[in-house]
Amino acid sequence: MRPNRILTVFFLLGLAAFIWWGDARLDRFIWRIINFGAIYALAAVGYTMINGVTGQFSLGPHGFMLLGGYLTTLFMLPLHQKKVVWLFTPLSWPFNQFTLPYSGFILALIAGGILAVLASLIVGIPALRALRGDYLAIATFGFGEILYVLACNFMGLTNGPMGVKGIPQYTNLKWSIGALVVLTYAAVRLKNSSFGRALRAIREDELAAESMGINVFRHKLLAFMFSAFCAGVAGGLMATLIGTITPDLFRFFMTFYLLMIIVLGGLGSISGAVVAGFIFAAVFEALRFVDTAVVPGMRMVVFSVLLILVMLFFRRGLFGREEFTWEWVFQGVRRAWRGAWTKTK
Amino acid sequence: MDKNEVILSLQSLTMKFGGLVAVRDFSMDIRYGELVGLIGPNGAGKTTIFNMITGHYRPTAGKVIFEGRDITGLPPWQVARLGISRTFQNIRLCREMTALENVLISFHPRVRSTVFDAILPTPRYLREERKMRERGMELLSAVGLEKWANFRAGALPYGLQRRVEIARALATSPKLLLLDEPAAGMNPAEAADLMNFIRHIRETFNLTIFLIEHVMQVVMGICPRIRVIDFGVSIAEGTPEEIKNNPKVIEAYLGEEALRA
Repeated sequence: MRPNRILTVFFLLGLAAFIWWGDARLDRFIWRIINFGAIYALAAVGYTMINGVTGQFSLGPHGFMLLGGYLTTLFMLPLHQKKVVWLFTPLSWPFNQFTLPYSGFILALIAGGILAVLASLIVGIPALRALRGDYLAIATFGFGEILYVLACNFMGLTNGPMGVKGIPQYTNLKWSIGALVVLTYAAVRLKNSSFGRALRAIREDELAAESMGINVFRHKLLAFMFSAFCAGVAGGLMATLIGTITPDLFRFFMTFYLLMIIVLGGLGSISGAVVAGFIFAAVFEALRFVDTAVVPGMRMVVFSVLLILVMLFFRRGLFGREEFTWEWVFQGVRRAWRGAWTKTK
Repeated sequence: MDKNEVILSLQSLTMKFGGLVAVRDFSMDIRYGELVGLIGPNGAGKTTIFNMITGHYRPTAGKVIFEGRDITGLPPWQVARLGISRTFQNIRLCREMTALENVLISFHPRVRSTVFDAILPTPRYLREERKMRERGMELLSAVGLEKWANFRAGALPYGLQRRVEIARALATSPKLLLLDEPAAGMNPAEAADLMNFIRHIRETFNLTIFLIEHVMQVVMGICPRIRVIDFGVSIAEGTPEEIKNNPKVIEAYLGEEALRA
């Protein structure tokens, strides 16, 4: 085995140990932040695939998260809780008939992802064929808003603006980091494959890619579906982490968070999206005092200022378009080592 | 392949942009193995003709027949898959990707593996990827670029970028190669070099080449047959010798240059 493989195996073993220890022992507050970080990172990995790697400006991930969140909720909510929640409007068939046990959680998450993928086809087939740039952004943004309105009004499925509470809190580090690892692996493989090259070619020069025989529309749709799947699973995890879900949880601000994350990480960098996702969750909590001390909502002002500073002085984000590799770490370590050596001399 | 068979037939192509007629009633036949030049002053409509062939523009009127099949109005990616490849006047490489990756893009439409093969990855995909890289390197060696394979395309000198772009076009295994002002922005020595290169790839890859050029001396050297257009209208066709002495051409083209000189 090559040394990089060994390092990766050790890293994954270490991660598994951390998850096992963290789920049992970690301080609940920190545990929760890490869960949120993993969920943001997961949605951001998908989001950077369409926005960063393929260069198609979508503003729709909150809509896909909403779909995944609600479907997972409908699958996992216990029957007695369903009776309590849907008081005024009865819950629609077939969700009033069944509920899945904990062992079905993974199915519920995947179903949420698949529902999001189906929705991405509905919006993507017309929008990605005809639109790009600002217009695509507006179309996908509109789609997210439509879903919000639907979620508020389809009482029989969502219980409207009152939301659903009492969702079993199944999400833990095992699920959130597990999903993140699996889908990040898929994203990295996809980006580095021939398909990923086609996606990057579309970002760099759509006309040239098309002239080389690449079906641009199909590849954009591929990236869009992948991002929707990640967002759908992330939505499901978020609902089962918080334990309640309302349409307001997945409004446009969610996409704004994700946008900040992928810009901070470096547009098109998957490792950047992962790292920035955790940083975002941590800073978001750390800044909570601003909300209580100044005025509610002040946090977002601080975040916006941070984002502007990043855009001004740090335009390529943490990673630029590069990815985390062991070689990259070795080079950094070697450089630091050499630096220290020459200084002591 | 029968030398006298027509590979590309352009039949009364007309392209109007609003009130402007960019190309009017342009007809031309190109036979297998030919190397044909299309020249004309700036804004004569040369690139517009290319864009109509490759499907970037849908002609207002007329037909494009490629190997006996009507390809008028097909999207560019389908045209490329049928065997027409092109380069652009202002080099359009994926600048952030390496020279090799640029070539590999052209292989992608023929990848058999599915996305899931690529993500897992299955042995089938890994085999395909390895073969693609080998063929990409072979192609780069064939055009003398193997040293630059892992350089960022945008960081290469202009002349090499031009060659990478041609290599990328070759990677689609075209039957017909359209070169849009390949010598643009080159000094006479570089241009002569490039023309040798074009002659070389034509023989190596058994290609039919249709070439746009603005600088007449360049095209005179390598194209046995030249077509001249001005203001979207064909004004002459013939051997370089005939073109040089055609009064219409001198008036439209050389006259203008002679005045400047």
